[in-house]
Amino acid sequence: MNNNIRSYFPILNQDLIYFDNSATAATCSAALKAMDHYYKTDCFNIHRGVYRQAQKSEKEFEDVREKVRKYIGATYAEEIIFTFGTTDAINNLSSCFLLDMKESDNIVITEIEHSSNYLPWKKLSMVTKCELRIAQCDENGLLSEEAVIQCIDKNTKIVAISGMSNVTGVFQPINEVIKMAHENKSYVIVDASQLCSHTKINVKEMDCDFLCFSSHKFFGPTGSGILYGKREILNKLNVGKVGGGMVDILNNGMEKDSFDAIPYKFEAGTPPLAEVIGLGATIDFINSIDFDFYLKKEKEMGQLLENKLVQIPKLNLIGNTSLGSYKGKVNLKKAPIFSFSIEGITSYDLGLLLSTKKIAVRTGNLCAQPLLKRIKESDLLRVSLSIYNTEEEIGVFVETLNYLLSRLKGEKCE
Amino acid sequence: MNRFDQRQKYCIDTFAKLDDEYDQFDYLISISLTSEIKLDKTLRNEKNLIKNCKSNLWIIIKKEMDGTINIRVDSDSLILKGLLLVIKNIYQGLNKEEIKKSSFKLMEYVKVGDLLSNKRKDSIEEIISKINEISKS
Repeated sequence: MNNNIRSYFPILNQDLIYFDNSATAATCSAALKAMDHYYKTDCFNIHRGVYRQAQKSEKEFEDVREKVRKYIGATYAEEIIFTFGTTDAINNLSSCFLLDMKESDNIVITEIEHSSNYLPWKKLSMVTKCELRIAQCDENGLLSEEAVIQCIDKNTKIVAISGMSNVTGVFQPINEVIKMAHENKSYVIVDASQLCSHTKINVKEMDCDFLCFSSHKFFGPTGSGILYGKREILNKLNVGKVGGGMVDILNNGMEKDSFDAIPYKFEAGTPPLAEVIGLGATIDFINSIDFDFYLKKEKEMGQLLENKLVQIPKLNLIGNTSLGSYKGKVNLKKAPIFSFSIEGITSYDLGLLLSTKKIAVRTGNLCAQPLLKRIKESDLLRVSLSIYNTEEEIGVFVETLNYLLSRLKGEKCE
Repeated sequence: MNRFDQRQKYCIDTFAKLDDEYDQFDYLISISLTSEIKLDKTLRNEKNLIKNCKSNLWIIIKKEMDGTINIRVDSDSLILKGLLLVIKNIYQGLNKEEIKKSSFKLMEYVKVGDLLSNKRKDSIEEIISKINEISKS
């Protein structure tokens, strides 16, 4: 293993400063090699054919399930369901509750949720006519545990909460939320899409009932992800997505069907075979490097960038943890995700100009419209770093940003 | 060469001299910053908003008494406003016959077109369609 972490991510070998890692992280070469090999030699459908090649393919696939189990600290391999990504996972999961929800039940979500952890629950609430409760964040885009706990009562069936905001990068405190939810016999679903590349996840320590993330935000390929669920819950949960590969006995007409055991009953259709193999190779890669060392380095990069950003005049940094309801109370941890607006300048113009200078950032509503409405912003520019970004890149970005801001304000530039 | 073709050629030639993407955007920003054209707050409304464009684009297209087109534009984005002002300068004051014979090709020659999202490209097409429609009415 060589010291240059960037060498393990081929897509970084181009003239580009890539600061849009919250959208998609670079894919590691281990995943690419594994998928290439799989497609060329082992890509045969699984849980179906009896021929040797199908069995080999199935074994490779199930080996990844065990790898994921170990990586996230789950107890049983059958607690790991493969999905096509977080959006797929949450849509699938929410549809599992379709027949269980009563009008007297409620679902708790929050204003910091990404559309993918907001809309499926809103839809479930509309279809089942149960109440949707939305915990509010403050005017800085920060969400306190108290705000969520206040929404939970004995009729709360589900609490769906992000482990980390894709806007502020704050590690969302959820221990007390999970405790309160369990006291009320509610299920807690943690969206770990942003968390997964900024910390080691341990579902047992967290004690969440469900957790999901996407491979492509975790240095793996697009098209796969995982949904973790506690075994005892998955065993009694109704199926969501239905189709081939998950039904045991399919009866004619409207007669009740029986379904496979977990996790298979939640994996309808052909799974993303090669992409799961890619995820497995990604986990191997992460386990082979000193991930803690790179996370520490990433944190330092984040601090460096934040110190420079707050010096820019009229820059409004969202989720500044020294402000708002957290001030003086809790030392909030933050990943290097920085979203901001600049008075009088659209993020669209800035994003386009940065792209001409080979700097990639995200602009717009960041799929976080409820949060933006709360903080009275219509569009933001987001810079999201990862383990392979460098101090040099940060320097170039800040210098370029300042230059472009002068230009957009009509000031003379060299 | 008719007025439309002359004006469009002038714009295409101007952009051709600006080889770099950044220079083309910078040119559009200059146009915006030096333009005194700005829609009043009351006109920056839903009726004049180009839908499906995430950046706010407002446009008012009217046919004057003499049959010529009058266009007023604005946007929160300096780059898009610059582009709208270029389009306005091409079409402003043209009559129905001139617009009928026109073929808007500017976006094929400007690098900035590649960086516009499909929705924003659709918005530009929508504006050209509106101009054609109103001039025929």
